[in-house]
Amino acid sequence: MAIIKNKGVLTMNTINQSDFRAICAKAGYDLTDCEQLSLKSEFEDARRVIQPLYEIDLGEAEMVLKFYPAIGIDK
Amino acid sequence: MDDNSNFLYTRSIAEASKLIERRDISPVELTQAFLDRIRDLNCSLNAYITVTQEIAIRQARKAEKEIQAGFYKGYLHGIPIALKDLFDTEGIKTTAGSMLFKNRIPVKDSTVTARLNESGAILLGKLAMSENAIAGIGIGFKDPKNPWDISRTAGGSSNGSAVAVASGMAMGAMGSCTRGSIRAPASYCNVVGLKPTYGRVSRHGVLPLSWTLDHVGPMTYRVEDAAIMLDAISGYDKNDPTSSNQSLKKFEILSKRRLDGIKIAVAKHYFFDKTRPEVDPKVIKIAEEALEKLDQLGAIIEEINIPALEYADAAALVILLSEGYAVHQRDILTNPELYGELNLLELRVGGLFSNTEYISAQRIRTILIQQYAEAFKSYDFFASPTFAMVAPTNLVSTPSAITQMPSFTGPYNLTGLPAISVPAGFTDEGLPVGLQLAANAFKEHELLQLAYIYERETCFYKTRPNL
Repeated sequence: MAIIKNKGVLTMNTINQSDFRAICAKAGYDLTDCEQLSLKSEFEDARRVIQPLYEIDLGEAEMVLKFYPAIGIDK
Repeated sequence: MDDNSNFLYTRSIAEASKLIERRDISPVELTQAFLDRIRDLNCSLNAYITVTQEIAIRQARKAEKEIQAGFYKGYLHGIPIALKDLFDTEGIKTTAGSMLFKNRIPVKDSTVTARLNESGAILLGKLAMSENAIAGIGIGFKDPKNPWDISRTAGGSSNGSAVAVASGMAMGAMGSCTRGSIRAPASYCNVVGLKPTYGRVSRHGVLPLSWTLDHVGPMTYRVEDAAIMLDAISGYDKNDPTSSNQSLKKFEILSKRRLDGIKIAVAKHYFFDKTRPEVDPKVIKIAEEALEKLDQLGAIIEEINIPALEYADAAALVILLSEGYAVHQRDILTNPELYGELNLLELRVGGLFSNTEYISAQRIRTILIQQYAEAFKSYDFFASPTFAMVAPTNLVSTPSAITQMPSFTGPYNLTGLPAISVPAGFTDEGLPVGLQLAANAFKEHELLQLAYIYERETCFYKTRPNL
């Protein structure tokens, strides 16, 4: 259950405009240049917040996805 | 501050229900007092999207007849309440504060609506909210104003609910909460906000945002009122697959004024970290005073380390926006013009997270749940400030505020544990600050009793906005 920090093994890459356009296209977004710029800025802000997800080694931690209070417990 | 303690709109649900049961006041008289208050204030505070005046009067007359005939149903019989505008109400427009649902009229009540109706509560109307319960103001909707300072936000997303209760435009209100949308506006507006355990209250007929993070709960003037509303709305519902049948103990007023032997954990490394630029030292100071008060009342306050909290903001953000995007994907791709700019931006970010990020976030969540479960072997409750700052003037209009703001409430949506915000004091500018208390799963009864004792011994609820 202990949290093991990765020593910088995984970090998110920076995204250039062309790569970001490809990511948006894959998601099915049809954006104007202006919309794409503001989305890229917001996405980069969000990626800074989620960077800790890349700094943790979950290999020794809980492998299954579960949720407690479990769904419908004691039904 | 208002000193209108004799006016009906300043009464708590518990006080008003005694007056109704004794027939000292009638439900019609009480409902009319609130409708008058709404008429006077809603144009400046924007708490309501729809006021159901005719329905309210009709329900109040029915309640009056029932009570006169000796059929008193209980605490909520004849009590005027309101619903965040994402709870389905049969025949009444339910918009979720969004152009998408601007003209949507449900054909059935949500389970919560039906249960409040069965308990005899009077529906005053449907309350304003952040667009689709995420952020921003929907196209064609108005932004609720904080009654403590109308230049400031009332938070999100259950902002109309908090404003209505704080300003005396409803005796109680229902809110929904995915990362803090009940407790944050409650803290900003000096009211009580309870997020029950995941599964305690049915979400059937409530617009979803994030299936694994969404909760619904009451927002009230007093802690006892939250207990009364929870009692009416909780319980197993076959229409909600996540609903639990864990029993809820009836709330009792405690004569004891002490907390001797109660152990309260404080994860200072996360909730009291003054080095984070977004954390307001004034809020931390008030929260520390609240801890001192709990200590004076006999509670044992101890610092604890929950390492996974360091990852909670990241996990909550990925899960909320990914699941939110899944809910809205079709409309975003086909009708983006029906979304406000900020709403669309946030949801589109959710569509760009990777599957590995979502899975990592859910695995972090499992670890967080385990670490809290371990802590609850030694402690009865957790305490912290409800939010990192007092109500700002620009939260709603700044996109990055949603992603970057640390969420002191989010960990309890991730874990599904019950948490409550109670008024804890005011800054020098007169802005309210909330204390967040949390308990183990399905321990709402104990949580409400702790909050009740704290509330009774501090009385911050008595201070009301000057309107």
